[in-house]
Amino acid sequence: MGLKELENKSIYIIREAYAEFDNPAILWSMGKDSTTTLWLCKKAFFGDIPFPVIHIDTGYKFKQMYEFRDEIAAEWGFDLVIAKNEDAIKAGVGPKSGKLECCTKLKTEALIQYLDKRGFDALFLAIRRDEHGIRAKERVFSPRDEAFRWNYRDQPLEMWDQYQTQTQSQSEETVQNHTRVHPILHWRELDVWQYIKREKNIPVNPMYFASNGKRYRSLGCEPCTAPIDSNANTIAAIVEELRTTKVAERSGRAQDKEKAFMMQKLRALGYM
Amino acid sequence: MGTEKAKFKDEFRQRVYRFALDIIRYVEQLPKEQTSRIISGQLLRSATSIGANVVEAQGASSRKDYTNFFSYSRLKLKNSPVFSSGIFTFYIVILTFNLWFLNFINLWFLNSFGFQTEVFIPISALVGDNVYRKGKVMEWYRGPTLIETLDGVKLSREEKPLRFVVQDIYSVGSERIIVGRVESGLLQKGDEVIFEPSGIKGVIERIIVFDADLEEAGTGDSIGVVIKASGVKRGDVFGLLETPPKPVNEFLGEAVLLDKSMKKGDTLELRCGTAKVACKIKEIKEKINLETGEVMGERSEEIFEHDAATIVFATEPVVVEEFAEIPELGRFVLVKADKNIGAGVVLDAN
Repeated sequence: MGLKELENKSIYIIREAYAEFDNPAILWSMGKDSTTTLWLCKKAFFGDIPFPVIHIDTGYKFKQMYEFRDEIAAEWGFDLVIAKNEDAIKAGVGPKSGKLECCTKLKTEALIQYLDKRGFDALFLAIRRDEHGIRAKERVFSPRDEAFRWNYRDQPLEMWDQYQTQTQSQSEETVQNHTRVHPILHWRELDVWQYIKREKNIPVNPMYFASNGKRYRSLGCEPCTAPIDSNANTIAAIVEELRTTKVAERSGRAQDKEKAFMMQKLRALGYM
Repeated sequence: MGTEKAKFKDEFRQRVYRFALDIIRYVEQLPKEQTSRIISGQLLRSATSIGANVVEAQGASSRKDYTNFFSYSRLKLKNSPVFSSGIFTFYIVILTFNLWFLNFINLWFLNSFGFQTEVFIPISALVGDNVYRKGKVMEWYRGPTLIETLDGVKLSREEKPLRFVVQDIYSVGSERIIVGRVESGLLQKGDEVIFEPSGIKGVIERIIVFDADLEEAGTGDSIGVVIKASGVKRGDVFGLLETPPKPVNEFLGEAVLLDKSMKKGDTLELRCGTAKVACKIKEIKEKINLETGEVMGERSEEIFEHDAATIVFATEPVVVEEFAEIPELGRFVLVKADKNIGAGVVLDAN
């Protein structure tokens, strides 16, 4: 798909979700994908993002990410809200507690608590099918039950652009909590960078650019995110690098690889 | 030479991949009758196996092995256009060196099927001539190469009548912007349009995207429009006044049920474009075997999971189009108890 086609489809998805749900919100991790999705929302609504932008703060993010967050939020003027699992942080949960525990408590549970409080019925997320095998199984509109579980064995029928937009709370099987909406599920990593290059106005966290022969390809929490070897220090150089690389995008993300099926377990429990 | 070869390999792989994707998209648009279902399957298998064979060939152990894979791949490629004939322009790719043989094939093979082709592409399995570049082996051939031909193939929807589906209406500043997508045809500023089923008429004053005004928008574009009229709502479809969309309250469709069951007299929700309407199963005409397309029984009372059937739907006023005409508005989803349970295409909307 060309960039125009990708963008058209994403904007269509965003508008569908906004029309069908009462109380949506978007998750923003300040990475390239979610910042691009935020930009697509800006385009879909002609400038202003009409719903809250949630940052799930583990307290372990890079300093540059917090700076980037506050700068963009001020510049774009959206409603930034921060979701934090204060109890878990006080109880000392951290990378040393094990990655499954840490990600689940500080990310997933922080989100669950926040959603309970605000009653969001749809969440925009910037995951992509080509990022990770388990994410490839996703639907564009993906329901989550009251415990945030993702039943990847029995997902709704999604034909053409007819999404499962209705909540299934009345149905016999499950009580639905919210629907995950994935506007850039059909994009590849290369598409995202080519699009950033074309659009010119999408802010990019400086950590993506190489310094001293290293750059971050995927951003997460400081203790669990490693840079890759690279000299790509411009958007154009990153696009060039991705055309030829054999290194996986999330190779620097520890939670994906610790144990077999770790990501599958994380996601089934409600992880992004 | 070395880099050219590598470039070719890379390019060839990409285009074969794109070709497969195009075919998949194309097959999705074909009518789902018994004959085209078989053809679709064949076409899909041929087209997608080209890529697989090319990749396999690149991992082949010997030169002979390599050319074998390629020959097979080309045979598949040859199959694909043959099977799609009669519906669109088609192209024949043939493994030959000889003009006489080409004419023979044209007369005998194609005429026996009643087909006509516009372009013959003779290619060489051994040296690769006419696949990516013209070579010396077949200088008598003056037509385009395979790659040039594939690049020229367009599945155009812009020649069709304009259809725009309304997703929502936003208030931005002092303006009300109707947002949605051009599903077919071309929209231009100043066009006189009619929304259905609301029946509202208006003139397109602005076509807008974020930060820009456009003069026109084509098929697939997610845009906003401004008109002086009120009462438009989500689910409406607009077209030009000369070629307006027609709302129906009954149509013949073919649907496949992927969950639960439905019987004559049931009321479900039908979704087409952004419209959601109540629909009643008026009549189940023919039950069809999904595997073979064979008619399994007429006038059934009920169908179950994995059954397909031709059905007369009675609906609230809604714009649908025949799938063969405008596929984007010729397909629908059936919803029961808040769950998408089936999907179908519109066969006859009159």
